[in-house]
Amino acid sequence: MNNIPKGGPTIAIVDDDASMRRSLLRVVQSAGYQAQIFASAREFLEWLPRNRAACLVLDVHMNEMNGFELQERLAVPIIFITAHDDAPTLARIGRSNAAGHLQKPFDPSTVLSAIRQALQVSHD
Amino acid sequence: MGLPWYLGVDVLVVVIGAVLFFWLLRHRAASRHALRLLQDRLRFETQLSELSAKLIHIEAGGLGAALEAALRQMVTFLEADRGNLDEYRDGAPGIRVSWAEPGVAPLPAILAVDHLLWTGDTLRRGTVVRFSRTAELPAEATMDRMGYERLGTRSHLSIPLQAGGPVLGVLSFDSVRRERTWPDDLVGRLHLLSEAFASALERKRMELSLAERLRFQRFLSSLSVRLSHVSAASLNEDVQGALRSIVAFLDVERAVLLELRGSGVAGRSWTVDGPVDSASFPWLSLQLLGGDIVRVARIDELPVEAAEDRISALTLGLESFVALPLRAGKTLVGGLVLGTVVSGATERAELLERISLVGEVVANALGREHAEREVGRLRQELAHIGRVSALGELSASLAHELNQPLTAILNNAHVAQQLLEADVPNVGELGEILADIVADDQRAAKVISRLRALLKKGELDHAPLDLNDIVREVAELVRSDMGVRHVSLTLDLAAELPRVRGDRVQLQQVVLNIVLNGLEAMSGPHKRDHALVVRTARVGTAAVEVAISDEGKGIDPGDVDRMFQPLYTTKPEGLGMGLAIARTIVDAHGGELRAFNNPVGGATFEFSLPVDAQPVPRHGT
Repeated sequence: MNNIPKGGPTIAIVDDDASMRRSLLRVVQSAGYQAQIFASAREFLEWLPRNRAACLVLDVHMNEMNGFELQERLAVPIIFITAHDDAPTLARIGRSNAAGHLQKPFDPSTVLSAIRQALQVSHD
Repeated sequence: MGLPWYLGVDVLVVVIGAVLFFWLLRHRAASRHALRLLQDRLRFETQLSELSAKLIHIEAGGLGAALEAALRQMVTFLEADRGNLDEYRDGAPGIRVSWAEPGVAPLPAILAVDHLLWTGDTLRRGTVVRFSRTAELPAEATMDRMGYERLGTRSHLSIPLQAGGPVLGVLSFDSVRRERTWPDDLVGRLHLLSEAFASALERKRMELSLAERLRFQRFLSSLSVRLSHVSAASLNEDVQGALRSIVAFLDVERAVLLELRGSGVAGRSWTVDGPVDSASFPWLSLQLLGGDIVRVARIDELPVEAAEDRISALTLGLESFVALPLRAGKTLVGGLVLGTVVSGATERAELLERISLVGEVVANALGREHAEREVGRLRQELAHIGRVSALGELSASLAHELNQPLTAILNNAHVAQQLLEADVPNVGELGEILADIVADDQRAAKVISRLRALLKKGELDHAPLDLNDIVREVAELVRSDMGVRHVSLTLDLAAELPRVRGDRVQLQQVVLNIVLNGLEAMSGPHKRDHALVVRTARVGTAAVEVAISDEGKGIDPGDVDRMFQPLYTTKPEGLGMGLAIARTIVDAHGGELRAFNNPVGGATFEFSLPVDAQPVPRHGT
């Protein structure tokens, strides 16, 4: 199951929905990645100074600080997850230089391919 | 031997003298008789002209007393005991005025016809009835003879009164205390008098019927006023009050209002005591559907198939009734049943005539109440669509709520699948995953049931629609509001408008919201009358357009962009949802909603919708 050795890149998952968070963790770990889950942008920012994330799977719509606001403080590749297909959100994502965008509900394999793509881009 | 000649002369002289004397005597008697006849005639003519003058110069209201005075004068003059004037209505005896000498009973005011049948028939043919003794009556008048004897009449004279048409009445004189004759010349002269009576009666009838008609008109208009306030909320009280006044005015004893729907299906029903549950008249309803007035003189006359009607009628105490269909326009809305507790009492023609008019008034009210309920139903639908529109506004967050568990389930199922494919499945983790899947299932189900509650009865239609119809329906809905707000509504609808496809109620809501917005814009302290114009037009071949122009304050340039946003309002009491909902609906129908200020003041809101690509064949126009 662990095709990638331990100590490889860590995928950070930020989503305020516990069930969603746990399911994403399982999907990412099942593909052999290291992964960490966070319930809010603040939680992630608290973790960040002593750690490094190779890629962020980030829910756009969250309380306190939303995905876009968090993105502005980071330089890592980001895969946005949305449940809204409203025009303003889509436009904002289009302008955001995100590494990927997944609209719920999505197939788990699309998260993995988006992560793979994001990691490749960050390696280049 | 012979008598001396002079004796003969004497005898002759005596004879001549006697003859002369007798001749003179006779001549004097004859002339005295002639004089008396002349005097009689003069007195009679004086009486006649006096009576005629009296009868002509009185008002309808005082005619009864005047007729009685005239009768008294005639009875005294003719040395009879009793004088009667019977008024005929529709060829049958009606009201009677009777005057009798002291000690003699006058005739009752209501004439019992059944024992004077021969007399009645004779008079209706215009022939005088007279007899010195009841024994002179013909064999076929046996019943009449008994009738006269019961009234104490020994000698009788009846003269039919005609003013150039059917018998208006009968002038009659009775001798009770003695038998007497009615000579031809008397009868001849009474004919002259009878003409004065006849014309007085005719006049009285006309004036009475005029007064009656006025009274009836007043009743009808008061009934109209009473029923014009009928609303779904106060229907029971209003109908009850109206039925009471009908019962009182028409002098019937029972009134039942039946509501009928469509093919004669019974609806609600009311009596003067309020709504009733068990009044089912299936047979009667069918008859009324045919458009006929139904007369039932006796409840026993009802046919076998009317068993249920019979029970209902008996329950409501109807022994005899008239039922008439109530129509609002061409639609049968109900039936009005008027009845009495006495059999055969509802046969009066005038009653039927009046019932029809009363029926019209009641039918209009019932029809209006139907319309009001229809409008109420429409409002309810609109309230519902308000919820559905709110759902549209909420759909983003609802979709989020639903997508969340669905995505988690998909993720978890994907991982579980992989775990199961392993040689030694991690049972512990599988258990955790399954627990999460079950929880997310329940979460999704909750969201779906919330959606369903919002959408309840909200199967949105996607039907071909005529926008003109939609505009007319909304106009109907706001018409009463318009009057109160001093706003005139003008519809300028294009002929042959192509159909669009969509949801009727939702599009009604669009027009309604914009119209209400326009009305709001025109409200304020200024009291002058405003106009709101709704126009429909074809735009090229692919679209149709509805434009609603008001004469309000117009749109502030700074508001143009925000006015279609939810919760944006310039009105203190507004929710700011109307225009946002309107735009949401128009967008959902593939159309466009715009707003701009008119060059002459006020604003125009305009929306266009694509023409239905699959036109259906039109039925009618």
